[in-house]
Amino acid sequence: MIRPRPSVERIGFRRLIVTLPLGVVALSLLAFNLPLLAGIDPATATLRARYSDPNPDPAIVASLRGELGLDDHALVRFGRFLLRALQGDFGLSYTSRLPVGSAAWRALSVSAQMVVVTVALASLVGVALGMVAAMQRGPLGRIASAISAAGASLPPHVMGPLCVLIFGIWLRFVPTGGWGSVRQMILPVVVLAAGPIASIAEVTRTEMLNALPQSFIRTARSKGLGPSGVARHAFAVSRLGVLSIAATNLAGLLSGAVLVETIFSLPGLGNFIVTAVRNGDVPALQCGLFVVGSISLVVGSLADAAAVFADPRLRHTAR
Amino acid sequence: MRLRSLALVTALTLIAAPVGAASRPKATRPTTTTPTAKPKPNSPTTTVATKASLLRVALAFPPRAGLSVYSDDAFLLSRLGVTETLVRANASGDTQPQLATSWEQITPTTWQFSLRPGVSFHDGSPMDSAAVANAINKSATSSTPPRALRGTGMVVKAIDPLTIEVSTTKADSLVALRLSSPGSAILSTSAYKSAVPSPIGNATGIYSIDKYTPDQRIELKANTKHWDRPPSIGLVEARLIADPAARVAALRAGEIDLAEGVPAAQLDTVRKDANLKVLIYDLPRTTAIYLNHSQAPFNSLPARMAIDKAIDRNALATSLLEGAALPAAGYFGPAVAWDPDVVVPKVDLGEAKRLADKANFPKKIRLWTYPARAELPELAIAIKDMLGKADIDVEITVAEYGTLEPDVLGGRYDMFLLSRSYTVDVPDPAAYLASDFTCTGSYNLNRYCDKRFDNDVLGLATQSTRSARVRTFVAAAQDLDLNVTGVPILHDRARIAHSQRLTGLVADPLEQRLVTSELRIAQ
Repeated sequence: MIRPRPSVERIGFRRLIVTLPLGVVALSLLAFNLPLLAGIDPATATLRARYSDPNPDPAIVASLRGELGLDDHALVRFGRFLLRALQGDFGLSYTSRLPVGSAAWRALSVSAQMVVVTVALASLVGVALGMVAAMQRGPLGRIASAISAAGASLPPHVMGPLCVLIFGIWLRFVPTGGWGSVRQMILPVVVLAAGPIASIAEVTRTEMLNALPQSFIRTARSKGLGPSGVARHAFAVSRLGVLSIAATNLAGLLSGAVLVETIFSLPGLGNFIVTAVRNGDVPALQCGLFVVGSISLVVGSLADAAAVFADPRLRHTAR
Repeated sequence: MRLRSLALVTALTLIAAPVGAASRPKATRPTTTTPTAKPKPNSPTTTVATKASLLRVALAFPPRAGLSVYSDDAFLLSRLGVTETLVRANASGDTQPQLATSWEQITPTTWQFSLRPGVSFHDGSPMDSAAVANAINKSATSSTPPRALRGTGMVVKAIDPLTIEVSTTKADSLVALRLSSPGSAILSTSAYKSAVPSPIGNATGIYSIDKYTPDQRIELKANTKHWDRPPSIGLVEARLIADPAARVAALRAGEIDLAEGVPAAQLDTVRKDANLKVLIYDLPRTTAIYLNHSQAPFNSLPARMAIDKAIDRNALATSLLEGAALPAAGYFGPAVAWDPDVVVPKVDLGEAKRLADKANFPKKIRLWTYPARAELPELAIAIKDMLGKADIDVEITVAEYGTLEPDVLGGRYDMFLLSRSYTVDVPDPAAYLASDFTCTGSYNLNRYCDKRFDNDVLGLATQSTRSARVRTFVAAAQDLDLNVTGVPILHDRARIAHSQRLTGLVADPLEQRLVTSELRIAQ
């Protein structure tokens, strides 16, 4: 008996039901154990963070260990952590004694706004540059290629301070840093988008160059389709690659934009996690890792679903 | 296609909307001219915020513990003029009245403080002995008490509405100095309703916290009913910018008026900017190469002397750090008035080589340091170069302090480059000398041990005369110098850059005062 091929919706549902819970459990284990494996003594690290004291009093360390519940067995602490995490409660920060959930949420909202705008900008500009580079063999095409090459070769730690100097200090067009207004978003988004623009442009250009000599484009041309129509047909082939890169950037930049966050003093998720590591703030670190991991899982699943919608052929290969 | 474009535009608008909504309220912009203060009667020296002038400050260290006074956030609150203590002190240990008008040691373990009448908290409630006793008792008994109060067993009792009695378990001549530490800030009783004491509306300083946006900014407004001098600047916005380069960029772009912690590498750029000024002053903090006396080669005096003779402190201070530090002759520097005033040792490479030969150095000597203070790795490289010229081969390791500490405290190291304050909370280095240089000291990195030195330092506990204490400090510093107990190389200096529009900035080596009533800003 031949089993019927599962529908796309069913596959997506199965992924969400199976992959997400498994991922969440794996993330919980990782988030709980990572600080322990790093050999951080949370009580000592907390006191150092609170008092910049390289040599905390052992009696105070012992008292704090009790207060933070660190004297309990690791399994008891893991059970407590898991139970709370499933309820969305990651406890209080060791250093500030304030809920880490709300702090992570604030950081996530900053990162999410920045990253979504960055990916949208990178997709628009990257696709446009890639299309121009593929379709135009003259100076325009070379300029488009040069722009994307510049984006790829200027890392954020070079481009960021350069943009601050030119547009913030010399020209005073935009603020040099901070968060809270649309103007403050401009420089970080541009700096962060440079890399993804280059990669999206390159994928678009390569895929389109592969597509342009194919028969369906020749047919389209012979039917009298203009350059823009041809470009649209050829781009349809490269959508998958662009989507895949955009999704990767979306997940990666959420926590991986630490450099840009530092240069522009942004209170994003990257800084949140780095500060948690530096301060040995285990609940904050666990919450940060959990949030980043969960978002990566969700974005990955959504990207898969979007890919299936973008390319109907995948409906017959997806399992 | 049109639908897709519409959806894209809508999505971008939705994303951008919260950003705009989260922007600062216009009321805090410099253009705001709402009157915020009335002249204070019966005070001829009163200066008043006649309009909402705005001072924008970039802080190097953001709050770490939700503005809790049971942490170094207490220093931040004090620097911003939010909190006050009973006593004010300078780096040399001289005291002045603040929320207390006078004090007296009644018995070796009991002190009596008279409180200033007419002081009220930001919420309008009066400051009385019950509130003061509650504040100090809560600090002293918290699970992480401020360093100044630790181990004192301090208990405060209200005697009458304006008098308190402070008792300690042992005789303590430093009680007034302890109560000058920002960790002993006086907050109203309602501050302690939550686990983390909240200074918002509950302190007595010249500014009250109007709004705190974690990880971004603290907005302050002038306390026009302050008991002494209400400030002339109506509003203060303290931005939390941890990255030193970003602080300087914001200052150069005119986005802020004052930036603390200017990196040494950018001092020259700031000095050349006609719109900016730099204030540099000495801090009670010394960078030293700690040497492990418990094992070879630094268990021998010639080995320690070889290091001492090979280091060119002047070059490190002037060339490498561009004047952001002073060459050190000993652990105590010019930030304290009783600085022993020892001459900075000159480089003597010939002597250093001779001593190194005599000391029989191993093939490689380990020099460890940590990156939390940006200048330390750079200094380590320069030191390696200087020691190389004296035929001492150095291997540098730069790692997080927490990673290195177990080995350093356990005596499994050769040289450790560290920057350390000698008067952290209490402007008296007795605790520092005891922890860092006595045989049983908990932070004796040099592993130095001299019973006579210990007797002198531990004797400070019962020494109440200031002049006698100072004599002991100076003698201790000379002992450390004679024995080459580590090699102090630099005295750190504070670097504050500010706009030319800002005047009245006060140098405070204890780093407890930054935003004061003396500040003026030209509109």
